[in-house]
Amino acid sequence: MTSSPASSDAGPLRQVLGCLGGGVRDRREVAVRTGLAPDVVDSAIETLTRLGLLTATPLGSGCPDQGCGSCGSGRADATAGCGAPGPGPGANRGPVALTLTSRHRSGRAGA
Amino acid sequence: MTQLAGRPQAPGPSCHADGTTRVAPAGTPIVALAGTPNVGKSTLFNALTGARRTMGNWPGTTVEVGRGLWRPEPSGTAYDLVDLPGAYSLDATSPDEELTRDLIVTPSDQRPDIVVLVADAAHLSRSLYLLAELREREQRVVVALTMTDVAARRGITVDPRRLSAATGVPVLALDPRARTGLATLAHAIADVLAHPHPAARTFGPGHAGDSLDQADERFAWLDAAVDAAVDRHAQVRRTWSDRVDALVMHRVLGPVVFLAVMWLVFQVTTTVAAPLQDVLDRLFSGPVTEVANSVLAQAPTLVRGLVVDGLIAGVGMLLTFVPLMALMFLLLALLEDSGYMARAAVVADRTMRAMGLPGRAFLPLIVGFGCNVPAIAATRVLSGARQRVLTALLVPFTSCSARLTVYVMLATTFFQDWAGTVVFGMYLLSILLVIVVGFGLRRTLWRTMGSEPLLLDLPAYQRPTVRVMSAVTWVRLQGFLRTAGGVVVATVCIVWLLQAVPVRGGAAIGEARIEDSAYAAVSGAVAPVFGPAGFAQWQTAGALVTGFVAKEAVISSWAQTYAVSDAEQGAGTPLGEAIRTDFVASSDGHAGAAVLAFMAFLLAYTPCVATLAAQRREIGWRWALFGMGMQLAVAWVLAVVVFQIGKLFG
Repeated sequence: MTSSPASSDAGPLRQVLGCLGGGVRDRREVAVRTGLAPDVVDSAIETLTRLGLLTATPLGSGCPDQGCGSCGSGRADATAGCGAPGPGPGANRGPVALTLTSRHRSGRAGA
Repeated sequence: MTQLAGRPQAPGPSCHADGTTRVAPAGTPIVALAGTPNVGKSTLFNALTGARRTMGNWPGTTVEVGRGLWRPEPSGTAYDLVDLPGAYSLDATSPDEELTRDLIVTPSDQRPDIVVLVADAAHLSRSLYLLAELREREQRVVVALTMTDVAARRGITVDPRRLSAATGVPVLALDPRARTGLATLAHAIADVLAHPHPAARTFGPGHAGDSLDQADERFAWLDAAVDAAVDRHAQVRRTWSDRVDALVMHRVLGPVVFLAVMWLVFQVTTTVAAPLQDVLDRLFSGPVTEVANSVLAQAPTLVRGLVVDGLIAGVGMLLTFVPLMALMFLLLALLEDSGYMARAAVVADRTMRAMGLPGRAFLPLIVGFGCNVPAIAATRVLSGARQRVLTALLVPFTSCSARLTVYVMLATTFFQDWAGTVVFGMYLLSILLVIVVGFGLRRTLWRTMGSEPLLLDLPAYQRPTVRVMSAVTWVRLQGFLRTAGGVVVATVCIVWLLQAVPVRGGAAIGEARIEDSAYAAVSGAVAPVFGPAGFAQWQTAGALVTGFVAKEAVISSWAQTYAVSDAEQGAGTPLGEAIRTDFVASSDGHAGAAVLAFMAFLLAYTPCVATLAAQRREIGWRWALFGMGMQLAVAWVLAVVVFQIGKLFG
C-alpha cells in the first residue's frame, strides 16, 4: 500500500526530494525507499518539476534545445556543423535527467 | 457575452463560436468537466451531449472550450456542459490551465455550479491533486472514475465508496465509451446540487507556509485517500519491457549484454560491408584512375599527380568506407530508436559513478563514440566547471567513428577473419582508457569534486521506424562525406604539395622522389619516436601527423604516399600490401604487434583539430593544451606497452 514511513514527519514530496538528494537514481527505487506507490512517486515528481524544484533535461544528445543555430559548432544556416544529428528525428530517444535545482539545494525547500 | 434564449441552437460538432456562448437557457446549471489531459473528458462530453458541441476560443485566449447541452432524461433537468481544458493543477503553468483555473476560481456567471472531476483509475494520484485543490474551496465536486478496465489489467482496483469516504465527495465509476454509469452521474450531480456548498478543506497545522509545504500537504492527503481506496493485487504481471530491462540493465549482465551487442554491430559491419568496400576500391583504383589518367595525359605532371595520386587515391580510398559507415550508423540508429541505447547509457552511468566521476559525464562520453566534437559541446550539461573540464579531457579517449575507418582497414589487412573482434577490442580499449585516465585524474587533480544527484527517466521501448533510422543515418553519413569533401581534400592538397617539394637531391618541384620530399623529411624526423612501438617508418609517422587534422586523413595520406611510390616504381601494389611490408620491416617481423600498437596510439592521441578547437572553446587553451599533451603521452606509453607485450606472443 501507499503509507509513508511512520517515523518520518515529511510528506510525500519531501520524502521524494530527500531520496533524490540522497542519490537515488530511478523511480522504482524511490518508491521502495519511501514506501509510496509508484503512481504517487510519478505524480510527486511531476509536481516537483512544476514547482521548479526539479529540472528535466533530455540527454538524447548534447545539442542545445534551441537547435544548431544557438550552438558554437552550428553552421550559419542553423544546421549541424559537428557531425551530430542535432535536434531532429530520433533526438528524443535518450534518457531524461531530473536534477534538483539550485533553489532546492540552497536549502530553501530542503527536505 | 452572448446568451441564447429559448432552446439551444445545438450547432453541429464543428460549429465555431465564442467560447462563452451558452447552449442552454439562462439559469441552467453549468456543469464543468475537469481533469488531467487524456483521462477521457472529451469522450465523456461526447457521450453526454451526443457529440453536439460548440467549439470556440475563450475571449482573450487562444484556448478552445467545448460546450454542449446535456439532458439526462427527455423530461429531466438540462445542464450546460463545459469541457474544460486539461489541467493537472490550479497552479497554472500553461494557458490551458490558466483558463481552467480562472473559470473555476473567478466569480462570474460562467463559473460552474458543479465540477465533475474525471479521474483516471489507473493513475489515480495524478488525478487527485486537482481534487485536493478543489476541496480547498467551497466548490461542489463529483468524481467520475474512468479507465477502470485499464486499471484492472494492471492489478489495480479502486473502491468508489472508500474513495468517497476518504475525499468527502461523491465518487462513481463510469465508462464513457460503453455509455455505462452516465445515469448514476446525473443522479449524483442532481443530489449534490440539491445541497449547499460543502465546507472547504483546511490545511493541517504547519502546512500554510510556502508552495512546497502546501503541495506536500495535498500529497499527504491524496496519498491517504489512494491508500484507503486502492487495492493492488499482489501478483501484478510484469510487462515484457520490465523483463527486458531486468536483463539489459542488470548490474552484472547489463554491461555484458552491452558488449555483446556492440561486438555484433562491429562483426556485422565489417563482414557485410567488406564486399561493397572492395567493389568501390576496384572502381577507384581501376576505371576512375584510368579515365583520369587518360583525360590528364597531356596535363603537367604536377596536376596529374594531384588529381590521380592525391584526390583519387586519397579521397577515393576514404570514400570506399561509405558503405561501412552507412551500415554502422544504421545499426546504431536502430539501437537508439528502439530505446536500447538509453539503457546502455544508464549502464555506463553506473560505471562512471563507480569511478567517482560525475553522473552526467556518461552522456558526453556516449556521444563521443560518434564524434568527439559534439561530445565536447555536450559537457555543457554538467553543472560544475571542474566536472566539465574533467569530462572534456576524457572525451578524446572515446573512439569516434572516424577512427573506425583506420581500424577496419588495418584489421582486415592484418587479422582477416578476426577483423570484427579486433575492431571491437579497440572499443573495449577505449572504454578502459576512459576509466583508467578518469580514475587517475579523479585521484590526483580532481579529488574534491562533488557529485550531483539526479534521477534518470528512460524512453519506452518502441519498434524502430524506417523514417527516423534512415534520417539519422543520412545526417551522420553527410557529416562523414562533408569531412571527406572538405578537411580531407584540403589535407590531401597540402600533403601533395609537401610531397612535391624536394628538400634534398636537387630535383625540381614535382620531379623529386617522394623519399626526398619535405613530407618524407618531416615524417622521417618524427618517426624514430615510434621505434619502441614498432612503427618507426616515415610513411606511418607521416600518416599520424596528418591524422592531427582528421583521422580520416590517415588513410588518405597513406593512399597518397603509396600511390606516389607506386607511380615512381611503376608498380601496382594494393594499399594493404604496401602497409604490411612497411610494418614487417619496422618491427623486425612482429607486424601484428606493431599494428596493434599503432591502432592503440591512433585511439589515444589527439582526435582532430576540430576537437582541439572545441576543447579550447569549452574549457580554454590551457586545459586544451594540457589535454593534448596528456593524450600524446598516454598514446605513446600505451603503444610501446602493446608492442613490447605483443612481441612476446609472436
